[in-house]
Amino acid sequence: MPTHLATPRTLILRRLATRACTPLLILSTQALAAAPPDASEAAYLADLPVVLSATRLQQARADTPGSVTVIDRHMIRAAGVRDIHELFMLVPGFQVGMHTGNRPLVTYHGLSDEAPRRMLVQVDGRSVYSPYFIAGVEWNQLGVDIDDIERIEVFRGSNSAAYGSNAFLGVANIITRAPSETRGTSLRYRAGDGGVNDVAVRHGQRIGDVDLRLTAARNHDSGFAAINDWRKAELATLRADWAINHDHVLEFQAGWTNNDLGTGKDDNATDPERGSRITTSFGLLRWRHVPAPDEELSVTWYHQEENGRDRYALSVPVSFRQSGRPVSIGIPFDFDYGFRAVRDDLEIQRVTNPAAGLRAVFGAGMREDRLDAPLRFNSSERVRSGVNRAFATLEWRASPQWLFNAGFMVEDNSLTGTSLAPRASANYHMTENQTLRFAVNRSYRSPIAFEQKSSMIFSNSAPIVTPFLTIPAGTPISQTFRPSPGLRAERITTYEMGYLAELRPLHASLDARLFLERARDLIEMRLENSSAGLLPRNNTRYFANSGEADIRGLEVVATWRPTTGTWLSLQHTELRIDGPGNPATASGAQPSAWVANSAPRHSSALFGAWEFHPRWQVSVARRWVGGMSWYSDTAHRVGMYRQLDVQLSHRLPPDLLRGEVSVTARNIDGDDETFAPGASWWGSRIFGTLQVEF
Amino acid sequence: MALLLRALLVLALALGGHQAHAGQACLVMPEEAGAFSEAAEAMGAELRSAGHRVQTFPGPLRADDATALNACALIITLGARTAQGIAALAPRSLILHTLLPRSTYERLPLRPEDARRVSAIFIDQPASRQIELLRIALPEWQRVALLVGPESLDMGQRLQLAARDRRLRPALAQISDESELYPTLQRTLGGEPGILLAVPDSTVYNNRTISNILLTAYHQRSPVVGFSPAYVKAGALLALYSTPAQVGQQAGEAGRLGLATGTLPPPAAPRHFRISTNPYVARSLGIQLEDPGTLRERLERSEAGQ
Repeated sequence: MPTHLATPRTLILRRLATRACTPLLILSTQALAAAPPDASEAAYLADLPVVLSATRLQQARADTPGSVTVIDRHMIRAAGVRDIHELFMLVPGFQVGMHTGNRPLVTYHGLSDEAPRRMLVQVDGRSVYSPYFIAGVEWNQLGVDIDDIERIEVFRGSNSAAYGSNAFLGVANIITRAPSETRGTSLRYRAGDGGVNDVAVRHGQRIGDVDLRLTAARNHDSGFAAINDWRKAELATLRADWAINHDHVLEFQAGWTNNDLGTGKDDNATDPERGSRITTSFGLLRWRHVPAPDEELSVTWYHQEENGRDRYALSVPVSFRQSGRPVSIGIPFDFDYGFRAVRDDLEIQRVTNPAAGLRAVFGAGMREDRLDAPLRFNSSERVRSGVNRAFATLEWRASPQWLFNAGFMVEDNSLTGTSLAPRASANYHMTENQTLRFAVNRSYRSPIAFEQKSSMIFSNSAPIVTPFLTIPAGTPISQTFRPSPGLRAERITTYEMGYLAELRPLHASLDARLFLERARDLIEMRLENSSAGLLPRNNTRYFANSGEADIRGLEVVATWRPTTGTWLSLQHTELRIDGPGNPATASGAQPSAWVANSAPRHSSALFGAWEFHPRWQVSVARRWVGGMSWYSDTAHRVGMYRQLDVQLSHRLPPDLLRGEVSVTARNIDGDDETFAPGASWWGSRIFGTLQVEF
Repeated sequence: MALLLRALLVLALALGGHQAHAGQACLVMPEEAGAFSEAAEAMGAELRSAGHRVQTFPGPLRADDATALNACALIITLGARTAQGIAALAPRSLILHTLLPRSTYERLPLRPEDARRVSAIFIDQPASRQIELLRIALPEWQRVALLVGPESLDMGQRLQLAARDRRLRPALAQISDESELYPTLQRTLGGEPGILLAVPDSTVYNNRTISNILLTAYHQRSPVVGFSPAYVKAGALLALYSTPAQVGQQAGEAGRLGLATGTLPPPAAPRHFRISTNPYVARSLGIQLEDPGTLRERLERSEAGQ
């Protein structure tokens, strides 16, 4: 055990000794220390690797080219969340809804539906924006355990210049802990209401020059009441950092996730209650050459795969009205939503310091997505899409007051052609504590393969025999999606002004963002009549660049954080979204276009933690969310709701065991409908967590 | 101390300059001499400027070197192992050990009568200077965490006393094994952020642990203050150190004085020093830091005033 020399008793003795006879003390300690080894000068002259390089450091908030919210490990712990998506409830401007207990929806400034797809999430630089189906972030499959996260940096706004298309509205960078920080073994067990039964194990070790971490976790719960939305999520990840020498590091990550999810509704003819499975795996290799804190060359390659299995056979009754035939028939279908999505991405990046006050980041990359999803594309052919990109950012500290930042990304997308996403910002440090920021940028979201090429035609899996005719197997019956060729990338132009005050002596900060975001060519899902197939439809879906939205608003966050374990943060967001032909003055009174209701007008949150006694912490999160609609009609509007989470945690006495025990009560102030009326109720849940390290 | 030394040197040169015999100074280098060449050059230049002959003995010493060393009026050793080697030989000439930690010097076999004949210029900075720098550079920070191992317990205690004298709040924790490092760091830095003042100790601070230490401290919003420029490059907020050339220059001066008067000045810490800062880490931690030149001037003024 480490000897902690500053215990009260020895402290008093030493103070006395200090006053009376310092030389005596030194003599006595020398006598007591059993022949300490002789020190050498080597430590003074030895070289060391660059640990905190400019890319690893969290950029000072006063210097960022946009508003950034940082959720650190202490906040993640105090929030008492089991899943990463829940943390976005604590970030201004974000909306988090639960379609079901296992289908989270997260979006920034609305413009969403049941498959939000305008926000980007990266885990250690690996994009988890899925190319599959209607795309977006698959929150169940991020491939990172929540306790392995060091911090999440949430860029509130658009930023294609730095992160490429898909960084359309909101970018979250999840940064995992270095394996050198997670040595030893850690166990976590959590159990509680609603079938919550989670277990995780992590082991970190150094072998030679390699720091390793292996994490395995399994989360289980039975979802919300009365619907089939149980979940068993399994995960295994490996990270190995090999310090080849002082300047070169090779980082290897690999991971696997498996999600068994309850889905479907018991009274739905084509979507019955069942289980589905999605398995993902990834590997990432990054070589970094860091000769100095502000000089870095890195090459990153990653490969990831998603495999989905959701197959069931049904006989769907079709009434004579629907079929236009004289009799009701049962049509046998073999629904196979199985898919496989594969991504490869290669990027080279250089960070350099060409002159005093200048910092440059530039690089290039390429990505390829391959999709096999026969039912989605009505084809067994592999659907390929690719993006090549080049990017550069220059930061110029012109004076102690002014910092300028300009950057761009050029992308060549095989589906939509070439786009240029520029960005410029100026940060004016009015005083040592206050900064004003002006920023403008243009960002894009490229449609994914499904939006352009989807063609979902359902055919009968067996012959249909009626007294009048026999329909052979494989006859097209109904088309739900048709291809939408010619789709262009969505674009958004953002103008923002930010204000940041950091009053360090008071441990307080105030961050405000005033913005206008003009989104154009938004890809909307539209309906049309279709005569393809035996059963004509009036609601076959396709996509068109017909949407637009002007988003105006203000986000304010005030934080007081005297220590890492005690803080109080208050935030408020005011949002107004105007659709086409729907001027701001009239939007409240008139039936609005879908965008207007896609985010609440007002939302607020309070998040606080108090270490009221050494090793004891109580934390509270309170949210007020205004009414909004995840769907493009007012019938699916959910009203305003409030949520309250409370957690009590205790760090175990280190002499006994290192670890923490906590009791968490989530959403304890009543059930809420957060997705659509009648869809699901987000209920309260109480669970306990024990985490130990040795 | 610095003033006294300078005054003595001037006095010696003024009084005895003409009578001084041009003695032979012998520099005994360590086996791995790379980092010491700057120091050796500075020593050689200083001694030669006073008319002394300088002979360099590359390490390790051979048997016949012992005879040759007997002809040296002054032996200057560079590094701890060389000092231990020469101390074991116990030659009768003046001996100046340089570029070794104070604790190693204090454990060399020295007799009381060697006091005027054997001396040293340490590589490590005096505790008072290190603590004074914290007060100057980081005046708002009161907590100072000291993580020591068996090698650095002495220095840790000296720093602890110096910190208390300057009304800082030191917390000293000792580890005896690398496996205790992370939990001890967490405990020492957890809660209220404080300065982690690194001390040279191969059990605590080495190539394997540095990443762990710097990351843990950074994530606890605690700045690290190091003792070599490599620390600043790696991610420490600032570092206080003397370059081998600075120590070499001082050793040359002490050697001249010794050859001129027959008595070496008492063992001393390096007189001249440098400060390096890491502006990236400072900005990221939200710390306003003066530039290294200003910090050095303020620290020098503070020392001169004491």
